[in-house]
This record gives sequence, C-alpha cells and structure tokens, in this order.
Amino acid sequence: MPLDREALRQRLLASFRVEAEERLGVLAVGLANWREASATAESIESLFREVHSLKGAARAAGLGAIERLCHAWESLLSAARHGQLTLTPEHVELCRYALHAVQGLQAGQELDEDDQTQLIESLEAAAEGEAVVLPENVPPVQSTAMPADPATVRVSAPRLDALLFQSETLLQHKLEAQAHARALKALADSFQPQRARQLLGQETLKPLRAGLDELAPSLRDALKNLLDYVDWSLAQLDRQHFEAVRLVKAGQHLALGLAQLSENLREGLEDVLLLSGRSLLESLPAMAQDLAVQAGKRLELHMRGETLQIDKRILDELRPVVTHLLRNAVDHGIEPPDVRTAQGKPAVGRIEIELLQEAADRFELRIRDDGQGIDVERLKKRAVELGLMSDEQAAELSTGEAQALVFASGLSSSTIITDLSGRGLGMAIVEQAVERIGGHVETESRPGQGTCFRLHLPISLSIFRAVIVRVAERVFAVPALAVERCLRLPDTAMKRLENRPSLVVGEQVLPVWTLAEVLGLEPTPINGSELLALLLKVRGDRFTLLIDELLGDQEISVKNLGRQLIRVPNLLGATVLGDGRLVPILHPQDLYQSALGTISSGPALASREAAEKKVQRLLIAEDSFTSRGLLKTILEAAGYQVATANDGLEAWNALKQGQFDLLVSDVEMPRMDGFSLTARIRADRELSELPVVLVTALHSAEDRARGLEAGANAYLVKSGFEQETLLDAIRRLI
Amino acid sequence: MANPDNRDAAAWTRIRQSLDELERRIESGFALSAEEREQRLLERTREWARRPEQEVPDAFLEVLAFSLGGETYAVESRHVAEVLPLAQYTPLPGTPAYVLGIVNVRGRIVSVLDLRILFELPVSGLADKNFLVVLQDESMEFGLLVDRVLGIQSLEKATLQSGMASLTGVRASYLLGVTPTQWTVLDGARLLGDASLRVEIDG
Repeated sequence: MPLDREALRQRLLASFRVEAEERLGVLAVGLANWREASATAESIESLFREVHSLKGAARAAGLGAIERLCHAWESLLSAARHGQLTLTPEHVELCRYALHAVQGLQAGQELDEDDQTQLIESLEAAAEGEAVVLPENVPPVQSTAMPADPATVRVSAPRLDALLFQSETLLQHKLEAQAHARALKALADSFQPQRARQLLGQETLKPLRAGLDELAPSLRDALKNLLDYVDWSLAQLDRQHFEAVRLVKAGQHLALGLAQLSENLREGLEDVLLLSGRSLLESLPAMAQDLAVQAGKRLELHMRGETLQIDKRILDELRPVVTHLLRNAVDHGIEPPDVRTAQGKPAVGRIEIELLQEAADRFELRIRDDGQGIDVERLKKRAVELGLMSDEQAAELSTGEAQALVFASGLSSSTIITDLSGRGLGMAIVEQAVERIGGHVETESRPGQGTCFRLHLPISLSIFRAVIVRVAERVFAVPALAVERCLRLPDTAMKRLENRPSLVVGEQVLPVWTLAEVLGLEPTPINGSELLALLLKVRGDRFTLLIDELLGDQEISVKNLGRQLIRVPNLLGATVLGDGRLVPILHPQDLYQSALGTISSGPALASREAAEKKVQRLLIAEDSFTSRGLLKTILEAAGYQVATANDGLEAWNALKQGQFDLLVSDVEMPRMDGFSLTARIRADRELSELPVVLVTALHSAEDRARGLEAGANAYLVKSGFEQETLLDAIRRLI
Repeated sequence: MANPDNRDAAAWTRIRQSLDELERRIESGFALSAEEREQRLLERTREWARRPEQEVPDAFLEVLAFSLGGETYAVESRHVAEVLPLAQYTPLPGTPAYVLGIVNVRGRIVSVLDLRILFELPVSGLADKNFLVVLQDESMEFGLLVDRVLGIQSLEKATLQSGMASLTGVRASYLLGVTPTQWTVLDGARLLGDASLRVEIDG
C-alpha cells in the first residue's frame, strides 16, 4: 500500500536525521583534530567507520545524494586506511568540504548538481592518489551537532525549562499549604478558651433542669428548649473542635508531604541540570578551525576539563561568551603565520580552553592564547578618541586598568573591523553575561606572549547568594559576592570629609551614600541613632550604602528582567523569593557608578536630632562604689541621665517607682543578685520589656548562659570591658 | 404624570392582544405567516449571499478589545500571547515612567507597560481589578496593563479610519485605525517592534 510505504519512509527519514546528526558531529570533531596534529591510524579507522555507517543509513532512507557523496568519501578514507595514501592537509581540507556538503544535504539544503559531481570526482580522484583538486564553491559552513553520550538521554531544553517551572509552582503550593495548615491550627486553637472555661458545666445546668417542674408550663417549655439547645450546641462545639483538630493534622501532613516533594524535585532537577562541560566545548574545535581558515591563520586548540559537571543554565549563558572569546583570540590574538614565524614563534598558534574546579561550588573557565596580547597603547588611544577619557587620564592608567578597557563598550583593539569580531561591543557583553550569573572576569596579557581570560563562575545557579535588604519600602537583593560586610554603626561613625559624607569603619574612612538616593528613590529618614550599611567592594573599590533594614541572606536564582528590559541601570536581574515575592537584584558595579554620579545630601538625620532631645534614663545596679562611679561617668559622658542603686533589691524598688529606659546591672550583689533581678523584671508585667545589660566579672560559659536564660539582653564581662563595648551594646538596645 | 388607571388599562389591552395572537398561532399550528416566511427566507438568502465576501482573507481583523482609562482599545489577537489577572507587580527603579514594573508569568519575567503614560493621557485611579495583556513576537514580549478585557472581536478592516485628527502625539504613531464605535485599534506589530520601547542603557 502506497500510504504505508510513505509512513515507513518518513520513519526512516526521522531516524536517519537523528543518526546522521550524531555521526556528523563525531566526524566534525575528528576532522578538526586532524587539522594540525597528524591523523593517526586509529582516528582514520574511526572516521572511515562513521562515513561507512552514514552511507548505509542514507541508502536505507533512500537519500541517494548523501549516499553517493559518502561512497566517494569512503573510498578516499579507505585508501588512507590501507596505507595506499598518506593524508596531506589538502586531503583533510577535501574531507572538510565533504563534511559541509553532507551537513548541508542533511539539513535539507539543495546542493548544486555540478558542485556535487565535482566534489565526488575530486574525492574519487584523490582516492586514486591523484593530486587534490579542491572544488571552487565552498559549501556553506554548518554548525556542527553534538555527538551523544551513550549514557544520556536527549531531553529538549524547553521541556527541562517547563519542569523547572513546575518545580517553582510546586514551591508556591508548598508555601500555600503551610499557610493553610497554620490557619487551621489557629482555628482549632480558637476552640480552646470556650472549652477551657467550662462556663456551662453540667453542674450549672442541673439545678435549672431540676427546677423545671416548678415553673409555669409556658416558661417550662421555653426553658427546656433552651437547655436542649445549649446541650446540643455544646455537643456540636465538641464535634467541630474534634473535626478541626483532625483537619489540622491532615493539613500539616499535606504541607509536610508537599515540602518533601518540592525539595526532592528541586534537588533532582538540580542534578538533571548538571551537564558535563563537554556540551559547551564540543563544538569549539570545528568552529575554531573554520574561523582560522577564514582569518588566514593556523592554530591548534587544546581543551581540558570537559568532564566537569556544571549547571545547564550556566552553560547556556556561557555559550555565546566562549564563542566570543574564541573569536577574539583567533581574530585579535593569534597572528598570521608569517608574522609568527618572523617573531620566532611556531607558525601554528595555540589556544587553550580549560575548565577547572576552584571550590566545591565554583569553577574557572580559562581561555588562553599565545598571540600578540592586548595592545594597551592602542586601547588607550581608542578610549581617548571615543572621548571616554582625556590624554592625561589615559597616561595615568596602570597596565591592569588599561587592560580592563577591553570591557568598555565601543572599544575594539582591532583596527580593522572584520566580520569575525564584533564592533567592540563584544567584551562588554561578555562581562555583563558573566556578572549576571554571579561570576567575574580577570584578564592577563603580556605583549607578544598572549592573553588569558579567567572567568570565575559558580557551578550551579542555585548557589548564587544574595543579601536581601529593604530600602524606601521596597525589597532588593544584593549579590553576596560584592558584599564584604554588613555594618551596624552608631551615627557618630558618619563624618563629613572634603564636604562629602563618609563612614568610619574601623581604621578606614569610606564614602557613603544612601542606597535609596543612588536608586533615585525617596529615602526614608533614619530613626534612632544607629546606621545600617552594606560595605561593598567593586573591582577593588570599597564603598558603603545605607539601608533601612537587613532582611537576611539566601540562595537565589537569577532571572533576567524580560525581553523589553534589556539593560536597566543598577539592576542585574530579578529573583523570586521563597514567599513568591518578585525582587529586583542590584548590580554592584552599576551602583558604584551611579553613586559617584549622585550628589549626596547625606542621609536624612533630621529625626535623629529630635530623638536626641529626649534624654534617655538609665539605672545602674552595682555594689562596688568604684565600679558604680566609673559606670556613671562613662554613661553620663555619652549623654544619658543616670541613676544608681547599691544592690538588686534597691534597683528593683527604683525600677518600680521611676521611669527607666535601660538597666545596667552587676551580677554579684548582696540581697538580690543580677540573675534574680533580671528574672524578676522579665516576670513583671510593666517591666518585662526593659532592656537589661549584665556586667560581670564572671566569665564562665554557664554564667553567660544563665544570664541569657534569666532574660538579659546583653552580657558583658568586666575583664574584657571597654567603654565602647558597653556604649555599643546600649545603643543597640535603645 | 400618567394616570395609573390608564396605564393598567393599556397593559390589559396588550395582554389581551398577545393572548389573541397566541391563540391564532396555536390554531395555525405555529406555522409562519406567508409574508413572514418570505421575509425570513429573503433574509437568509441575503446572509448567505454575503458569505463569500467574508471569506476574503485580510478583510477582517481579529482583535482583543480592552478598556483602559475610560477608553476602549483593541489590538490584533495574533500579537496577544495571554491575558491574566494582574494581582501585583514589582516596581523597578531607573526605568522609564511607562514601565510600571515586572511580574512573574509562569516562571518568566514580563515587564508591565502603562499605555496611559506612554500616550501621555491623564492617569486616573485604576479599577480594583486589573488585567495584563501579554503581547509577544519572536524577539519581544511585554504586558499591557488594562482595566477590563472585553473579549475577542472581528473588525472589518474597511471600516477602520486612520489618521484621526483627534489622535495626536505618541498615540498616533502606534495607531492602526479607529473603529466607527470609537475604539482605538493599536498596531501590535509596531509596538512590539519599536526599538525605542526597549530599555537598554550602555554598559
């Protein structure tokens, strides 16, 4: 039946496509390796087998053109295999033509009849040992397909992404289920007060029931109905309480189950998403050779570390980056063979691409060439021409700074714009892409000896850590890589130096801005006398940004801002937090640039002055006269109003009578010690919120634990006692 | 002021008439009167006669109509990827005013644009419930904030008026035409393809 035959043909074609893709991939890699290294008998054998199998498959699928080409190609390889022929570079080039032709046919491109005949004739003639005639028309360059790893299955990327999305949805459901379970728990608990009070116990109702008969009939019936109703209601309440408790258990069970499922799925997906680095590097040898031929250069490509397992999402982001760096190396790095020979270098350039594991969660991608290196002088000149800097500025740049200019947008060190390398935008994009996935780039270059790009990257996107902060009523994530420290400082740490605000951090004086101002948002005035800041380090520059609140740090996954928002100042992307909130991720480099352009009015400290006017009252409980005097002096000097007590009991009485903002107490005191005093304060309804600082000579861990157990807010040991520590502790508390 | 008695009387007359009519119909076994039948057939003929004209490709636009700021807009449905309720969005600093923020649509981030700001129209309060109309082509995707979605409609292209004098400025450049019912039909392809709507600062 004709229909069945057609169906069979379609099936054969489909399976041929899959097979051809794999075999062509192997052929492409094999051929690329032949280019400069001599072809080994083993590799000739392997390529011969591939071509032979491909011919068989083409015949089965009824693809005559591919079959004929492969047949001629096979004869050439066969001659080489039997030693009748030594492969010359021209032979290899001819094989490359054959590969491109088959790739073209495979991809459904029409091949000119004459070209094909000519190619077949050339192949056959070459097999006979005649001089190689390369066809005139170069078949179009095809991107090569990846050979499959037999231990892996093919899954299309969109399906994986769909799975990823499902796991995110599941996470949302988990959070919702947990919220429901909590709501149910609250509902079940709300039955408790009513049951606990037992206002209508059997005993209360008994006399009423007993007295029923004494009432007038009309009243008796009404009361009886009421009593029945109350009984019924109580029973109903019990049943509903019971039901609610049951639902709580079911709800918690469900939430737990979902949590486990969601976590397992996430972990499983993370494993699935780990691919070997091979998938990133595999297509490079063939590409490098194609590029070299186009640029009239010769090179050999060495790759190492392909077995390193890396998150697919990282590899996807890296693909254009690596392609670009490789293009640059071929185009700008490696010199033409004659130039190289003249400089005493081997005519064949060398490019190394290496994947190295740096730590459990990080790796380095290193691309090194032995070409001419970055021409620093030319870069500077271009930068000046483009108006990026003045001559003087350019002259002052260090070599490292000047090399970093390759990342500046619009700069290209190549004087000729070729279609290989872009127009100077490339490196800026490389840097952006790397930073977006939480990595950074290092450049090393020696004139005449080559360039090395080191990309330091995370292995999995899920281990991109971020500090979550609140600013001007909004929440932002800051990449943890750029955050050196989170600072909590007294507002006295803020100074005006050279008429701009600075923050004194330890020994350093750092520039400070409010993050809100840098982002162009309305800053919220600072309440209290404490500053909260992030100390960021961007390419060696340290600066601080004031924030309103630190919400914590967590692992996040980075998403871009959608197709319309290609590049927004100060933003690197967005992430979805555990509770489903979508939060923008800040871009540290941008922040520094924006900050430098922000005329800071300094943080709004207006409310601070208001806060200071209200003098805070402290109570000191200390039995030693000397210590008491010292504490009093220190605290009064810091601007507090201070009262003293000679022991715990006296302090207790003072607290009950007067109004105090904080208690500083010794531990060992007559009549009532500091622990008991603290415990008593915590148990008191009016005083339970009073901050308590225990100051003591006891410094065993047990005493410290005992102090905290009693409810002290801070526990300072006298031996290590410094007035700053005390003042710092007090400022944190009030 | 109508006299209530008169009104009642009129109502009774109407009821009697329709009862008579019903009776007549029942007697004739619900058959149509000759004229009525003729008329219906004619109508049907006319309707059928119009069909081939409708099948002319490109004569009609399938649009998604929505309301925003008291006006009705429409955009060709082939540009619309999806419509969803807009619960909340995340505002972003440093974006043009017409970018309200971003939302998470099935794991993808989609930006939300406010056409009122883009078109320089007065921005009054939004409805309690808003919707997001996601426009998409091969290389671009964003969402439009809308008040209410009015559904898919078929518009005859010939009836669209272009170059309305009343529409000036930015809005005119995204205009496909205005329907006789005063709907503003937006050029989805131009909105999606407009490079000036892409937010991209130099690195």
